[in-house]
Amino acid sequence: MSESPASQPLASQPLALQPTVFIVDDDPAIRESLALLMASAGLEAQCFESAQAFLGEHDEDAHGCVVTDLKMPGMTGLELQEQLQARAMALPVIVLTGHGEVSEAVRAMKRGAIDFIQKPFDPAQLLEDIRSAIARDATARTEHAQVSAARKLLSELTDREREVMALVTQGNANKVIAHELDISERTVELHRSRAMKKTGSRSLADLMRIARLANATSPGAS
Amino acid sequence: MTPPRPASAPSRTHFFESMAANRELLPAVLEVAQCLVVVLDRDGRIVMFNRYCEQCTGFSFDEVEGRYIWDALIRPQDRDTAKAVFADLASAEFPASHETFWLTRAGKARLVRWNNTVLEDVHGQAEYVVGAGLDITDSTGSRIKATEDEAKLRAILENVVEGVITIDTRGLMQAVNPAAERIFGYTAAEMIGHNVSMLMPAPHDEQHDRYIGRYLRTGEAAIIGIGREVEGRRKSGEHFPLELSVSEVNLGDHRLFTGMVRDISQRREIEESARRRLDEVAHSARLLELGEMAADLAHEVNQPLAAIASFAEASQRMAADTDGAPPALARALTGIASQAERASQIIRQLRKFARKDQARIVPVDVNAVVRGALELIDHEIRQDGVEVSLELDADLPQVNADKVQLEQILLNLIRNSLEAMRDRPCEAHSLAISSALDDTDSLEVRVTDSGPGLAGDMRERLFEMFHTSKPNGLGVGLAICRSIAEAHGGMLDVEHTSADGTTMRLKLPRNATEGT
Repeated sequence: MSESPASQPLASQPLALQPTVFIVDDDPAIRESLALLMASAGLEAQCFESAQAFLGEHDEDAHGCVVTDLKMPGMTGLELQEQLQARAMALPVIVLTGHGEVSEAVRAMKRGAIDFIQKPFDPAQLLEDIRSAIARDATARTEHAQVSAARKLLSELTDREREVMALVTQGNANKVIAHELDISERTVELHRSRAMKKTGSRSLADLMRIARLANATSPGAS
Repeated sequence: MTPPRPASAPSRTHFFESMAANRELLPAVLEVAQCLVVVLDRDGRIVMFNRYCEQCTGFSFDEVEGRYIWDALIRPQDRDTAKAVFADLASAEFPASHETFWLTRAGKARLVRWNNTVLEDVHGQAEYVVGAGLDITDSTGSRIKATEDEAKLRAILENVVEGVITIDTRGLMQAVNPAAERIFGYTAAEMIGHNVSMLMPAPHDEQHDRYIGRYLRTGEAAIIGIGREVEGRRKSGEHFPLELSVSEVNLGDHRLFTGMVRDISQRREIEESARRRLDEVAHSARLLELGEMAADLAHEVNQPLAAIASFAEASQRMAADTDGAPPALARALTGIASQAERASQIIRQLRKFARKDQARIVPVDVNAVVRGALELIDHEIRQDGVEVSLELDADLPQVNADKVQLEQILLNLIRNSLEAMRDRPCEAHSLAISSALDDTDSLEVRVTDSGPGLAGDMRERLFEMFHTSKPNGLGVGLAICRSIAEAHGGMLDVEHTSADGTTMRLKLPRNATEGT
């Protein structure tokens, strides 16, 4: 039995790159001080003076988190978050808000991956929030990668193999499946073992995990 | 109708014979008398007609001599009456005086007032009628006119809302009209003959005689012909504001003063409440501005504070990671961080003044707010001659909002519109305000003016905080208006602007919690 190369992504972390803190703020003093703060905490940081500039250079594979301001000329921090969320793999966003913008913040919060920190903020607290955002991003990305991988594996199965696999993972015995699909038990056995092999599953539990991942509705959502 | 008696007509000669004693004198007197003198016989025939009669009627004595007076001189419609008088001459009293119209040669009617004497013969029978008459046509005309004028004048005086009070030089009331009675609560009888000072509060009541005296002496008018607001005193003792104008009437050496009085207490009350309302609005505008400034200041200071705190935190971490870093450096960095935190505390305190913390959110009828705002600057709208048209959706749901803040937005928009239109002084100005529910279930209020529109960068800069061209502000700037709209979950923008005018749009979200 040779090992399937397709099983690799499920086993290892897909995140080879360092997480980056993307600082998007129109105020240069904020950009500079936050960049320095990240450096002092051993975090990679990149600065952008506007949301547009950030989105223009944004790499889909970039990971980490975004720290931005609610009020910026051009595109606000909220609009930036909306734009990011529309993409396949959204970065968590931490929005710095002024006073009185909390109600706006609450409205936006309902939309998803977003944190609000009211100014003036405690830098140590901000660092903590950044770290937890990065961790959330990493988890989401891992899940996302696993889901993609699972779907990719399933896409290599034939229709019949997928049918059999679905019934297997629902907990049906071979005999029941044979009856259901009007094929012999022997044929069921055959499809089942091919599906196991193609997906790199060593047990029924492995197969069920892949099926569950592939059926996950929104990959990347945290 | 009695026919004239033909027989034994007395002759002119006979008349003079009977007046033998005055034979020479009398005709001369009659001729020069500046009144009409006519002598008729007992049948009504003219036997004597003096020169003044000739001048007045245009007929000569010769033309009328011996003719019946009613044929010669009486108006056709009066002839029967005249004949009847002579028919009864024997039995009835001839009127000692009466007025009748004579027709002149030119066909004009002259009204003559007669004083008559009947001359009797030796038997006590009426023989002649002597009439001395005054032509009163002209004076009667003016008298009739005067009577009519007086009636008109009286009708006016009785019905005007202004009180009219006439006093003499002693200050005693000579006449008052019903409005004056109503205003002061006294009857005419209670006022006439009394000093007008009874209608004035102290100290004018005591001073009034002196006021009149000074005017009579110096001719310096303090109120006559000027008119001003003064205080009055009603019978109830209540003081009230009134508008008084006094004019002087000179009837020969008889001087009277007529005062026109208008009770303006109600108008005053309305003005007062409008002023109070304006004060309130101006006050809330100032509070909003203060709040906005506090929020703005907090925001502005927050930025460098956040940077300082971040720099300090970064430095502290780097110092901690550096071998041999002097301990004093760590202390200094800790000091920076804690002072930044202290400044942050001050900013938090300052925020208590921020507008958003003072908002009082209640269900608000936006249409009512529109009308209220219009009312507040009604005088400006009228002053500018601006035509206002409203198209307010009567079924508009209420919104949860701060009413005062919404009012400020509308006031601002309307004011801006008025000012924009002032830049085009020669044209007809219109201001249209509409309200409606849009398809996204937001309330929209549009304010459209017929001003010159916003030039390129004006449209951009309109909402900048300190960008204003207004020196005297009732209300807050558009920057604050927009931030109020946004705080309500809505927006404020320029929907349209062209050389024909500008439409500003205020959008407010309809409330989920709104009841029906």
